[in-house]
Amino acid sequence: VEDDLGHARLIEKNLRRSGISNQITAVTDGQQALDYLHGEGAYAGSGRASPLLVLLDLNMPVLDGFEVLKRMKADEDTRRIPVIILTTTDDEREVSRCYDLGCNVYMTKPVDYAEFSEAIRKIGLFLSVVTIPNGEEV
Amino acid sequence: MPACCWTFTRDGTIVDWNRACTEVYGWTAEEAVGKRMYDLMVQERYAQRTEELVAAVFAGGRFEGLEFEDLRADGTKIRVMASEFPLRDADSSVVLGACVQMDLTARTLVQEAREQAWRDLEALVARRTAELSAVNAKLARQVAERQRAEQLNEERRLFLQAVLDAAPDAVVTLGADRRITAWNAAAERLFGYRSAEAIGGDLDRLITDADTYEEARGYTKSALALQPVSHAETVRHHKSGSPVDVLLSAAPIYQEDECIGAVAVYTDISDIKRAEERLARYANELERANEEIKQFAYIVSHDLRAPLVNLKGFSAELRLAVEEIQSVLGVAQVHLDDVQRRRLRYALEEDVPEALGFIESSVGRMDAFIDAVLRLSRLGRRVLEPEHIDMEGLARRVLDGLAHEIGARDTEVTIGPLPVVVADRTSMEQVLGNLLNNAAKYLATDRPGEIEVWGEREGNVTTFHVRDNGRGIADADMDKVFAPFRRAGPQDQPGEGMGLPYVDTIVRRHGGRIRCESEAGIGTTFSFTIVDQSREGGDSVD
Repeated sequence: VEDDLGHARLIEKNLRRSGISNQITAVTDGQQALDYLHGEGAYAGSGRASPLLVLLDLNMPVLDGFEVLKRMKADEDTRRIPVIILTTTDDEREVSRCYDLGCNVYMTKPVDYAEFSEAIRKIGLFLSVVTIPNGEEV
Repeated sequence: MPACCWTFTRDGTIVDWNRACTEVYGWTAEEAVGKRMYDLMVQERYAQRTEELVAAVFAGGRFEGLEFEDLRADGTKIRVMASEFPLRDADSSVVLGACVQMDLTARTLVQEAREQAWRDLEALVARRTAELSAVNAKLARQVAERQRAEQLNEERRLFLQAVLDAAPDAVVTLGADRRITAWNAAAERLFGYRSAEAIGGDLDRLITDADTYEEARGYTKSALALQPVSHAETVRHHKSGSPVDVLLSAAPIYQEDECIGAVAVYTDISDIKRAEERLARYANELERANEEIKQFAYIVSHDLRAPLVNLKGFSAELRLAVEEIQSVLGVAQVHLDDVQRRRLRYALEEDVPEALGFIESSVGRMDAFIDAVLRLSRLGRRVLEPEHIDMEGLARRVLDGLAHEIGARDTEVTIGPLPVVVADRTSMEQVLGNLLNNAAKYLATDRPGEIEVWGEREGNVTTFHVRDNGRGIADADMDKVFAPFRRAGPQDQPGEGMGLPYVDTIVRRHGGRIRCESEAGIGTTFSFTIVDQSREGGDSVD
């Protein structure tokens, strides 16, 4: 969930480069993210989506990341989906607010490219060792 | 003395006898009436003369100034002067004789008494005259004294009036009846009423409006009830109706243990109020500006960083793509002539890497700046956690961390006595770290280095000094020292120019100040003060 198309593209490229071959769906604001999760709006008819992981930016138009996180965690259908906050700020208040709202990991988008790749690889590693609650393995 | 009167018949029998006769002779009217005069008061030797006289009266004669000596009831004798005359009826025939007489004895006595009185009077007059002249002299003295006292009083009154009129505050006095009795020049200026208009008026009505009348009345009542009013901040009204901010003090006036009124002093605090309001407005604006700056710093750090992520990320993508091209081109190069190969190699190996290098280093610098701005904005927000800090140990640890820089040059480090302070540990680490780091970083290359750190305590304020004999700062650059992103001297050391702005911010948050003394080529001394922070109640000095 990323409103900066460049960031979304970089994240995807680096996830792929790290060996992730899962389907990746990019949406550009919080409302779209919820629509995608619930199969509503632009995603009406495609049914409820159950992604393995949500990468969520915070500062977005229409509906920001905090709100998406809050609603996901309040909704029985979506609250078990792991959420990684991937954003530009490392403001302590925002970090703790996200953890309070129930995010699994908070990551700062590093400007340093090597670090960025490393972070994405860590996500890949994370995904490869994490057992999703419904028993599927990545 | 009323005259003694009686009437008598032809044979001398008394017919009427008045009260004065009783008093003179001692016989009552009952005793006297019906008796013959010859049997009562007329002595033997005057009997014949009296009979002749009675006969003469009945013959129509009138006599005055007749002197006799008569007998009184108690046997004593009195001298009398009598007038005798006939009383006639309607046809003018004499029916009775009348005698009116005065007691000459009494007259004589009166005469003597009068003479005595006269003498007494004269003596008295003489005495009184003497006394009077003495009194007069005394009076004259008293008058002179009084005149002098009055003159003094007048001088005093003028002096007091001058004092009152010179007083910068409005001074008003009231009688016990609350009426204004004095109104000085400042009061005229402050409230717009001439003294003549004000005196005699009701103070509480004169300079109030509906909203302040009751309050003013309360103060007046209080002062007259011997409860002074001290520096009450309130509002009164000018003659024009405009409000005047004043500080009011009032107290009862005593004269010989009795409260005869009150004095009220009004200090015009309009200017102070205006200044206060202005200050409050400035503080408010400052706070808003600060908030905006914090907000701005946040936006800068977030929104400026987002494009940087792209710049850096995609320049890395480009680098990867170029590597990809080069690996593929290795095979294709045989199809190119020398010039084409050279041009391609130049573009791929020189132009593109150079461009990417500049982009990346610029992005890196930009990122560092953004980080610096963010750190500074966070510094102002962080809650300080005051604790006792061994500054000497802290300085030693910081210098240990700089062992590499210091060791590289021949540097003598002196750690003087450093007092313990109550401050935020992280903050103190940053301050000493920054200053000592600067000292080490900017040592002169042409002489052995000296770094000295020491401090002294005075009350709850501790002053620390960090001195070096490094390259120093040129006078022209002194104003850049604490300004963000400004760096002085040769730019041969890494840094964003934010170290000293941090230090300045931290020191200020600890209630202190930092200053810098420096001479180019000689060295620099930074001195900063730290005010011990309260550890009670988690006071954050925010």
